[in-house]
Amino acid sequence: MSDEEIVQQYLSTQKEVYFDLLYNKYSNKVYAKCISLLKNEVDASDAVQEIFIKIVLTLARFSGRSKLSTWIYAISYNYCIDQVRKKKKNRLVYDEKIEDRDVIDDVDDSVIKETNVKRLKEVLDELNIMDKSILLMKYQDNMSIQDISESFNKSESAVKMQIKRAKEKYIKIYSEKYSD
Amino acid sequence: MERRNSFEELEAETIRRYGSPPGEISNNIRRNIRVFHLFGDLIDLFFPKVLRMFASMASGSSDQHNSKDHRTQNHSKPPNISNENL
Repeated sequence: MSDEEIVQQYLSTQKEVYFDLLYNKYSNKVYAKCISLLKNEVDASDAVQEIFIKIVLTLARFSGRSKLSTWIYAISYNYCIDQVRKKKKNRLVYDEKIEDRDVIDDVDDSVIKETNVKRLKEVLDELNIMDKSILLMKYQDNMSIQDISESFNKSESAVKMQIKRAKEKYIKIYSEKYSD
Repeated sequence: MERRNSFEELEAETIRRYGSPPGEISNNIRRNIRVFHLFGDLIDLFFPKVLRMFASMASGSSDQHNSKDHRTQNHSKPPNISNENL
């Protein structure tokens, strides 16, 4: 049964069995993302609960333009970013005015994608939540620029700029930590 | 040859390490969803009635009033008992 069929069946019958299918398929990944972003298992468990309730309550609004997984992950990232924001009570790079112009991204993807996993985790943990989320969306979830821009309600060029900056920060932190 | 993606390896490692969310989470979600459905059903049931009540209050007449008038009208009309019917 495809994701779209599960959604249709759930919306028309409201049977829990269809919710269970979605939960069993995506809860592990959502939980892993929440742990990665919130850095705390208790907060991550609460986040999974809130995220899936939100998914169920807004499932009727899922238009099918993007994949269901993309839509679920977008809700997850936005929820975690909001949580971190509430805790820190400060404004993140997320809200920075980003110039809407053509972006030349000169950092090769393979430099980041082929990092040793342990080092990757350590460097990602030093980035702010927005930079970390945007790199995970692009390289872990293989979301398109259009999907990311829709998730954050930003223009595509603003997202490209954000990715470029996040990659530059990643390279900088990596170089400082592992300059051997 | 497919190129390595450390991000996907990191995700797989996190899932391996932490596994599924605690079991009570899915039960909590189901319980919450049932409560939301119950609220939804209650709203479906009573909201139109409440809306009609407000609408009739705003217009200065009510269904009750109308039905009373109707009843009065019926009562004021004597039953048709004529010799023909007997």
